[in-house]
Amino acid sequence: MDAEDVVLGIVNAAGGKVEGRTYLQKLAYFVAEIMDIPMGFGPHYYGPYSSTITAETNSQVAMERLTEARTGPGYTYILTQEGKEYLKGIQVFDPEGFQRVREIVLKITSTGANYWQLSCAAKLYYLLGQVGGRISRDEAKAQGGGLGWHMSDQDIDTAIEVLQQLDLVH
Amino acid sequence: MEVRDPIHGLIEYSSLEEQVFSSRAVQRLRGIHQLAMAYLVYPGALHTRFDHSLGVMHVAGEMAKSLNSYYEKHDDKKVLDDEEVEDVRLAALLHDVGHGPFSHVSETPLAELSREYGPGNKIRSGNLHELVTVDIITHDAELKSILGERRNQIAAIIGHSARPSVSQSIVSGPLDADKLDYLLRDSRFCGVKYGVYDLERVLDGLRVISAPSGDSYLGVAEESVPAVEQHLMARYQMTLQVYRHKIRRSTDILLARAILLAADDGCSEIKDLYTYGGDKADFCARWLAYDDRRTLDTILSQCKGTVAGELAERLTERRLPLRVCEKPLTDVSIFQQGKLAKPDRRAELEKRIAARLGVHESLVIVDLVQTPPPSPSSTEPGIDPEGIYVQTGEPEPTTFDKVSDIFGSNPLPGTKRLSVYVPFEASQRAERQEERERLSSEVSEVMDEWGEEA
Repeated sequence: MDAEDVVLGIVNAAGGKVEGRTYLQKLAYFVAEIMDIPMGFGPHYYGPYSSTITAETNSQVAMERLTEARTGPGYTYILTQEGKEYLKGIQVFDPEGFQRVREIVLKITSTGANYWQLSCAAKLYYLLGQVGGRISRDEAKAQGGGLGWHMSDQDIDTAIEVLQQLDLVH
Repeated sequence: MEVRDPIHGLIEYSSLEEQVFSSRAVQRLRGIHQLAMAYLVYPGALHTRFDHSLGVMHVAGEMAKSLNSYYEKHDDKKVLDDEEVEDVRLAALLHDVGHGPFSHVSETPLAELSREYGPGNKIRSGNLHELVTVDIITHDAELKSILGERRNQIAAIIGHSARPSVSQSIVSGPLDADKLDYLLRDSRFCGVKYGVYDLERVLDGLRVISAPSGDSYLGVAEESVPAVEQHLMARYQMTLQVYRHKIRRSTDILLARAILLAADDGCSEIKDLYTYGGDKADFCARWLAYDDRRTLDTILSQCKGTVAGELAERLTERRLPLRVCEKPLTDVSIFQQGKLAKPDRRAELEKRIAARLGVHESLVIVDLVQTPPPSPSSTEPGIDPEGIYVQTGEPEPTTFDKVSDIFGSNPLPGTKRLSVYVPFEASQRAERQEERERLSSEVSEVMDEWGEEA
């Protein structure tokens, strides 16, 4: 799967609408990590960030397969009719991949986590990836601090809860 | 000490910087063309990663100087101390040492041939040279002995492994020293004017923007917005007219194919060169032994009689493919757009076209080129690494689209365009037009048939 599949697959799986760039980025992060799709995620303020995902999202908006609507302080991405038709066309090339994206997105949305909670989860998961899968609370704070992520105990608890619901940690 | 540069005039350097740019790793960049084989269409595009690296070092220094000058005057304190300025200049000087032969062309073969290293060694095409750059700075014996432990700070600036900072933004960000240099340099050496903009005005307007996290980024003052608009338009036009030029695109693709085919055909030197992983010091030593000339010569000498060898010969002799189709992707049906979006389906179309024309599939190119929009992405509040932030009189910085008349409410969209290239052998002028039309017609027929199939 490539960036186009990931972006359109995610918005479609989320019911045709994703609210907020950060939320879209975090959904993409977990999809990319779980499915091992290289999307170039690196650390940034709101957690792991991919310029590939941003560029692809902008491209899909330019091609009128997504609309980007201003909603309050942020943006909402909506799959257009043309986007839905296009997606039907590309899904046939990798039906299992798109199904997997759908499963992951539905699992994430069913946790009820908002963008901030998902950001916390993404940060902790990223840190776990950096240290080989095992990290203490203090280590997470220290490592995160080195990347500009000031994670409180509550943030870490939130992250653990979300990751547990996603069966990504135990 | 100083050296003359066609873009910036006299570039000053310290004795430490001289040691670094005299190192084997940096001197090797004299053999890597900045724009790969773009000289086949712009004969003057012979500039290299070496002179570009000196230019970036100079611009990074000027950016630091400008920031320090402004904030010393207004806040009575520098943004970067002397050691930080030196680190930024060294990081700028070394930022491209990881580039492979033919610059960005090497990214694709390196990603393809390194996949066997599996998910634990996540190889991602696009910025692989940054990964390799960090490895070289960390593991190369000569750079180790020149820089000592300092090399880790420099590697952290380049590899984004430290907290976001002004230093990092200067070396790698939406308005970094790299972009500020290469636009002017590429424009000059290609003989075009698209990349010309007012560098001094951009430098003069640089400001520090603070994120809610406490991290700092580079932004601009409101009065320098017109200069930044000019810079962004320069970037956009250079992308459309030079970086995405049909001959540049086709030669880049054929070079990458020649490398992959050479590795596939059993050319162990090329295969070993492009396999990232294992002992990093060994990989770096192999990588640093090759530049444009040596790589092409290796393929020419070791792959004679193979398709890899033929591609290398065609490139060397400028027997380039002809573009017989070019249109926006939105000109084809949505169904065809979906097919064309996938590399393996485009490869299938290449085979069909090749079969119709009686040529090898490696000589046919079906290319999808994405040109990003000229404006930086507008964002949610907070700091977006793609955004250019503007300091107005308000306490919070604002995003560029809100203050730019050109990139405001109706920015130019990005585009995706489809091109098809096929081998072209007609040598007589009288035959050329006829042959061109015949090829175009054959390709259109194949595409129409293929496009309708599920």
